[in-house]
Amino acid sequence: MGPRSSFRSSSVALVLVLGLVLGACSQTGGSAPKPSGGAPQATAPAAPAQSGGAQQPSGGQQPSAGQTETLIVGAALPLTGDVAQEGKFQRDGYELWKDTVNAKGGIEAGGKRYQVDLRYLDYRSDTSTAVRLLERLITEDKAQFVFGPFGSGATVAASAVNEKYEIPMCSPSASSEEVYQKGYQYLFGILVPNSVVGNETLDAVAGAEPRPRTMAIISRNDLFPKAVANASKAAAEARGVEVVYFEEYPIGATDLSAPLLGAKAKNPDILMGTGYVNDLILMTKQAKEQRVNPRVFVQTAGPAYPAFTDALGADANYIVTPTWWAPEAKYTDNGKLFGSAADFAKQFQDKYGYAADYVSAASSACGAVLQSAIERAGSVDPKKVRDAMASTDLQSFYGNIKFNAQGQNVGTGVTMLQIQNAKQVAIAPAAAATGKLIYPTPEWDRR
Amino acid sequence: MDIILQAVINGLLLGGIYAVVALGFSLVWGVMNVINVSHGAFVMLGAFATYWLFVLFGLDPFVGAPLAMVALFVVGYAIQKYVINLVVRAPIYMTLILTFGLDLLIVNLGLIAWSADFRSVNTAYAGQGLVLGPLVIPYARAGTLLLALLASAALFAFMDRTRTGNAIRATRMDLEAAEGVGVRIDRIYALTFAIGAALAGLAGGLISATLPITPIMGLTYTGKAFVVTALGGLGNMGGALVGGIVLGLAETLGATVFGPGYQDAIGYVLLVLILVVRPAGLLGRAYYA
Repeated sequence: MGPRSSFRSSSVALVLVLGLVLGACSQTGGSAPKPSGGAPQATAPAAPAQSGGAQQPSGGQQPSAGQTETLIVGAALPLTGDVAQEGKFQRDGYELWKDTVNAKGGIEAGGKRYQVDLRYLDYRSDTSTAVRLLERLITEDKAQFVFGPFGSGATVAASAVNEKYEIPMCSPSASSEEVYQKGYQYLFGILVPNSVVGNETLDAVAGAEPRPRTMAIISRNDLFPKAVANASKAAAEARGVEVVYFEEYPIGATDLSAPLLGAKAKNPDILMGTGYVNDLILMTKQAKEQRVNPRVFVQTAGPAYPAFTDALGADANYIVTPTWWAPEAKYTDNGKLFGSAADFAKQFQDKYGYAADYVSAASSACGAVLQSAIERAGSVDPKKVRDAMASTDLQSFYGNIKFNAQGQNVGTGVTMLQIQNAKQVAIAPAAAATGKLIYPTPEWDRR
Repeated sequence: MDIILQAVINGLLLGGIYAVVALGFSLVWGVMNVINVSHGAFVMLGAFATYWLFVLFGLDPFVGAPLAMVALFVVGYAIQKYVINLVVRAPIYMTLILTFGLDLLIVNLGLIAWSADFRSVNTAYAGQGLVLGPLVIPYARAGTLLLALLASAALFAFMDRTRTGNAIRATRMDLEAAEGVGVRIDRIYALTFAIGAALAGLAGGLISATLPITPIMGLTYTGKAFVVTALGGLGNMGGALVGGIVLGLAETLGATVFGPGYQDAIGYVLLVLILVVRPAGLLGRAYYA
């Protein structure tokens, strides 16, 4: 074989290999090209931890008062990969609920007490793996209830599985209405819809003086970021703000200078970036590099996390973000489980050493909702619990939780935050505000 | 017009990153006929080495990156001598499989050691740039381009002027003849791979100065390195530099004109084009003369 044709054949070979690998890993939100292989982080299916309890509480047990059984709740989580930070927040939220409820004696239903046993499997930020692992949790680990994976994209895919097995799922991180429009009966979501987010975000910035007239939107090409971008576009147009630029960037992009440049060219008053925390950190860094100076920079699902301000420091200042929960919110469950929003924040900080954000709060809230439903149903039968969940009207540290007919929470609004002095400050609604919107944002060179 | 000019600047600077990533990859491929699929993993190791030097000792990434180079040189030498050497004369598929496995191993070790969280090197000058009217030239990226040029020049000087460099070129030209004149092929191969790994480490260190890093960042860069090498051509030290700049410009201008969603696709379209129109690459020679 001469050099020329061996170059060609090796090129073909490499293109094939790369194609296989990229094809295997290029699912929505996926970036880790590890098809099979690594051991998933699963707790081994162990014997129940409590004394006197059978593995499966079912009819035919002797229901004496005080008998303790185990309730298995499963969750497929992205503990590694592109959205690993968010996966960790969810896991820590689930764990805090489990520890809190077990310490209070467990969940009481039908004369029995149930200690909660949480089982996790790592789907490496790859949606198709999440679907597969959720099925495994239900069929092999015998999970009686499940908590959602991270994000609208993974949730809409995984929800088909628990629906098939008629196991209720509570999702703490899917806010896109599209997720809840498949007619599923077993899916419930804690985050209020994107349309609420879009409206309240625009309310917070569109009224500032001098009034913003134009808006540019840079969106990650992924379910939630696109959906919330579209919701914001609709909310902007309804308030007389013209959307002059709307572009999407691919998942896993390492360079956002092109869309930022395109947006800068239109000189927008409002610049909105959607994505997840790692994209938004990159976007903010490159906005500084490229000297993009909108009057206000709005981002979703990133600046609310402490990790965002840790990574960016003072460069994060002036960014406005909607959040589904904040410790300043005046929510409380009157001591039933966690107490107030501030109490929850303290318990979380004490246990994990970092501040809770809306993802971890919503995850603990999923636990509270499941617990409330089991208590009201008086049983752990999945169908009865599902019906009880559908009729939830719960006051909690997360606010009022009430599901609409599609299973999405419509009980509260969102809180608007602005980063000031590298800290998140609540600027809306008035009842929760600890500061005011600083507008317009000073230019990068003048900070 | 300003937008196009800024896009050109951004493209050149991005091209600098791509060029320095591809330099080691193209060297190893050209000399040893080994397509190192784990090249991106070495880039990642260099990035993390520089990150930890920054976090633990406060070393600026432009100082830490050369140190990472040295560390990766040692690692690369060892890996070639004991692992890659097993398949150097084997069919090309064996090297692909072996280096792919190596990539899996290194990346997963990285995930265990450092988790998948993204890390940032936040230097004081991050985001600062030279402002010329409406145009901006960010310092960190300009530094990367400069170092890419320096590294290319240094590599060329090494290959052209030193005895060892000549031995490497001789090995590339004709294996048996080089052996015949007394070149120690096993040492040359280990040295070449080590230089390739060192350049990957340098690239990683420079990347950490401008972008967030994570253990799974490598595969994207391996893909880019492949496209750049195909574009620039083998057998020529300037190939990676030219290929990198061309790719950087094409991606940035293409994203500006067609939309950011096409940014990654543009590289692969270019790859197909070059293989059809000029398979030896822009600067490559059709025959290793």
